[in-house]
Amino acid sequence: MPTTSDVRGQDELYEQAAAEYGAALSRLARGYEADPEKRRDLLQEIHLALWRSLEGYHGVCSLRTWVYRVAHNAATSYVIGQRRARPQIFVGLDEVEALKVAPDSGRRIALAELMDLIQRLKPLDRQVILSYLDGMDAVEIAELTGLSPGNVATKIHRVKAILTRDFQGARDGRS
Amino acid sequence: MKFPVAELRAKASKFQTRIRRRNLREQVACVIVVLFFGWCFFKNPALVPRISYALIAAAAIYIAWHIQARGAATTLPSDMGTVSLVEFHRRELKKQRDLLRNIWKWYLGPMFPGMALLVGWGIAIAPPGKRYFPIPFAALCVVFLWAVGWINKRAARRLDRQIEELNAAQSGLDLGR
Repeated sequence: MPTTSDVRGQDELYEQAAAEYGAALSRLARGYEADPEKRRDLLQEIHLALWRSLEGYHGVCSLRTWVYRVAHNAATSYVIGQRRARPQIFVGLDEVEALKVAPDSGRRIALAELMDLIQRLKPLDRQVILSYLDGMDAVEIAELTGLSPGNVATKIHRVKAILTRDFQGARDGRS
Repeated sequence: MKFPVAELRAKASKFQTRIRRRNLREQVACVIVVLFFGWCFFKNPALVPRISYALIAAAAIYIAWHIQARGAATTLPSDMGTVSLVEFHRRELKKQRDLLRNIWKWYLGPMFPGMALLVGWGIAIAPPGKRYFPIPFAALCVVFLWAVGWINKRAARRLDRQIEELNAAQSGLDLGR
């Protein structure tokens, strides 16, 4: 049974985490759900999971790692549940040929295509690409996912190849 | 973006209420089945149907218990912040796979002996000439049970492949799927 001070600590930690990583969590939810209404529900699920989990946070890792772990794990649960109700086929990073971005597309269209690609990826590849886009390096992503840093580096290399080939092309095409 | 703590607390409590209501519904359904077959048990003096009614009632209790135990696991795990993403994902898939793979153990199997005994007894006591009347019904039941088992096994195999993919990704292999 949590004491009053535990609860206050949990609430304060949540406020802090939400203030620091709220925007990142919204981006993360966008990578898992395309539909805006469902995305809001997912985001609320993530925040709920985070708030509940913080009762057990005793500084075992950085708050950032904790927040990302809980968020991705909650989102993965969501994806598994959605897949059960409505089977979908996800692709791996290795199977991605190219983003369907026309060379003269603007950055917004390219971003939308990138998001569309992320939403079609297998959860693990999705987690890697979202973490990479959020500024994490291979070691941090490895700690988060449980993959080896070398394995993460290979995946990041693939992400970079997609981004430089297609995304850069779209940006150049616009200018 | 953030959500007010009060809203999160209310949602958590609503979730718990939903789980409690679902559990209650399942318990009520179980009680109805047990009462019905209990009533059949006391109404029918013949030994064989009595055994089948008792078996069906026992199976209903077992299934309800299993669903309750599984229900307890549907709340989000408490270690979401400490377990790696691959491990969490694998664990969730395994949980689901085992549920599907073992459907004969916890759902179809327990009902089978009581039902089979009841149908067999129906055939045995039917007047000559009408003895084969229950067979189409029995065959339909068998086909239904087999189909449910097969669909679940197929889904479990799909989950198995996803688990293998996660294992391969963690060990740096590529299964090429």
